[in-house]
Amino acid sequence: MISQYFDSLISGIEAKIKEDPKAFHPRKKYTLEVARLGKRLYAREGPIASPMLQGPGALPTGPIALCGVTTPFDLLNAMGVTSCFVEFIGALLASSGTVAPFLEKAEHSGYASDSCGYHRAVLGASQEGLMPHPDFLIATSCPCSGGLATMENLAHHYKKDLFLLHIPQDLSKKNVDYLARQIMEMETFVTRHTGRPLDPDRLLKVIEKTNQARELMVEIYHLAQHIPSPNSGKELGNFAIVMALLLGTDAAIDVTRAYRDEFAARLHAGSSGVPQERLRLMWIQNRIQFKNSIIPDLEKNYQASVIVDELNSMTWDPIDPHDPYVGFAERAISIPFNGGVERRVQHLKKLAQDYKIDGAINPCHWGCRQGTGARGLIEEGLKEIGVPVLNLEVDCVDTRNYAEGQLKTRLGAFFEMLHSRH
Amino acid sequence: MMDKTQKYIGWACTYTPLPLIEASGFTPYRLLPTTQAPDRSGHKLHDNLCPHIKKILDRALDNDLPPLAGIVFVNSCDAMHRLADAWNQVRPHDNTILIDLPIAPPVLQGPGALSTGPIAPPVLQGPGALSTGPIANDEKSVDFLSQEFSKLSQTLAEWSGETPTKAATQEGLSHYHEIYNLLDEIKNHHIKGTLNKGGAFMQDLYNQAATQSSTQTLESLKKCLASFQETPSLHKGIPLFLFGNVLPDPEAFSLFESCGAYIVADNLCTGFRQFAAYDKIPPGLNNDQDVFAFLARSLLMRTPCARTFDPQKPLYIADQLLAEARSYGVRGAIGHTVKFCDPYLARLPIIREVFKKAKMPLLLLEGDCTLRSMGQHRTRIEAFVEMLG
Repeated sequence: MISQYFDSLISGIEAKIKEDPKAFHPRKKYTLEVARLGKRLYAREGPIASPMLQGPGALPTGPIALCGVTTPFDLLNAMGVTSCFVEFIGALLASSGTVAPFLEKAEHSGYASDSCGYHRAVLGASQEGLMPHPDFLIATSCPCSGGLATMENLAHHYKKDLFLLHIPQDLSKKNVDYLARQIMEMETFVTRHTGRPLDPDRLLKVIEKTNQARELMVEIYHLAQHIPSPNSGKELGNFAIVMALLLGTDAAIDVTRAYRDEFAARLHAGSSGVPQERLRLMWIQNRIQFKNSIIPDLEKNYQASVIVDELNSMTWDPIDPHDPYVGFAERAISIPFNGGVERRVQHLKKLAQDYKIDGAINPCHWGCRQGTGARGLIEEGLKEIGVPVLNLEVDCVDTRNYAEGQLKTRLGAFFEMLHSRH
Repeated sequence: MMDKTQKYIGWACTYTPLPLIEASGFTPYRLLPTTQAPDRSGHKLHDNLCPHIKKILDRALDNDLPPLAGIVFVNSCDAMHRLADAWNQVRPHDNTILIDLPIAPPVLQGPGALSTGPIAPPVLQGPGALSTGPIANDEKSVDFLSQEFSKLSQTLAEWSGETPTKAATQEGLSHYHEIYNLLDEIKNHHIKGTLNKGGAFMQDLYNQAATQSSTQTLESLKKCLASFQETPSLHKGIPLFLFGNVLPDPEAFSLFESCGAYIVADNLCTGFRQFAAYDKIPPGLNNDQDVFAFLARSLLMRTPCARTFDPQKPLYIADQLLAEARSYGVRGAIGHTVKFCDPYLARLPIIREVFKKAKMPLLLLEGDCTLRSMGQHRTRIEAFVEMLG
């Protein structure tokens, strides 16, 4: 079922790109690569009748891993493993409008409705046989305790081996070395499960591609800071967190180059992502994953544009191809969701200043103790630099309690206040 | 009653190494979530955050605390980390430190465990490559936490102005080992039913041991045992095992008893588990590094909170709790967790399943660290006890 959904999505986007091959199509290319990844993840849909390994080192569809958010996905790509963080599946289920029965399944099985919707969605989907069937799992302690617990549950459900990466809190040398050593052990763990040792030449090429995509992302973010911004509310939604899955591949370079070229062309033509941009907004934490009209509504009615997301920024240096494990470790530790909230607030303040933000929206994803748990502290931190924050109460995955009318009333009041400051 | 001669260090998570605090000349003072302070923490954090954390922050916001020379936080879960974040904002002049905590205990066992042989060297080497090779997998969490404890010890020394002596460290370890032994002895009398003082008495002992100096604790525990006279069991309640996270109010145990239950033993963050890491003090802890490694290993290896798990044995906590319940010969179990506690919420379905398969009756309760929430469960507890009677 899900595999067919991706087939249909892929053929639809490919047809649209074909209609106008000279256009850059950044969001279409992004969605196409997401769909292709989804198809690979679900290539073995349904119960697996045969063992993963058939013959020496052979894999019928390639190994699949379910992971935590801060896993080094480019290393897995170098090792021929198709992988994603599990919240990616939760978001896919929400965006395809199919999430509700999985949430209900999880809740009927005893998973509290107070917990994160992404995690409830994947736990429910696993019970319904609609998660990608993993060959092994890699959990990461960052970003959240709920994610770790979900990975433990999935490992138990699938009876597959689980590797754990403990992501320390800061970039001290001790911590970086500690995580780098764990990533080396992860590589050994993966090799044991796939029967395929890492090819050093392939890793070098993958890191080269990671760094290339990184440079393009830096350019994209720099272009997006322009006044008015060439970015618009939906174009870079979920961008950096999903690009992490594609790092080390040609797809990552293709997508990032398309964005870079499109934004540069818009600036060259003097056009902006949102016509007559009046308010520049920052989106904190993660996007609302199911279909909703908030972004188009605020663009149309208030000329307000979400031009930056919290995670759409470069927090890590290029990976040294001759010492990649240290680079992988530094990258994982550097994400804004890791460490204390003070660091996160500093990161948000810098983004707000770099992008000359008028206001910020925090969806306060229900059930997220990691992100939403710091809601008040973030609000106070941004207030110090004169950036007001609108805290919503949304489960970014669960449509069942979503009341768009109420949200729009609050957004309206917020934008009136922002307009009055102009 | 607070002792004004003591210099207190606040702590909130049972992974805090209490002997190190004591060795630095401080008294570890557990920031229990028992307070009449108004609910104000929700606007700093979020209303759907663990009430344990929110109540502690309410104490900080309301200044419902003794004078503290510092606070030791542990990054054991998202909520604990948010507490440290918020504390630093609402009391910016307090000395604080956050200890990072590995997820996995040090021992890898069971099917699918990685071999203990050497880990393959990194594929790429050269300038800037790691100076030390990978360490054995089963030691890395101990090694990491030892270094965190070393940092804690140095910070405590800065706060106190004195470096702990070897004798002070040995005394700290030995005191907590003795506290473990005495509490264990009293607990065993309680389990047998010959203590005849009820669960509230036991919880009161745990609270005292968590908030006063080890010297005071040892004195009161010894007094308790000196006055103890073994008498035949008088309790008539249904014997039950209690597990979960935070339930520090002794009155909660009286409530269980008033419903016809007898809580034989517990596995709670606010119960005996607080001292479970100090069951053995091995000889030959000759230097600070040995002490840090010992404490790291003991804390990671003791009965875990749901946040700690061995990736080789996912959801083993359910089997562990069942085995523990069975070891006390109880007729059923009560799981009590505070709302919004992700580590427990995500493990309760498997716990329920394992207990059901084993035909061990189980009642799951959710609370908010107040007696009011416990009172709301009275009917359910009575019905559960009646069913077992």
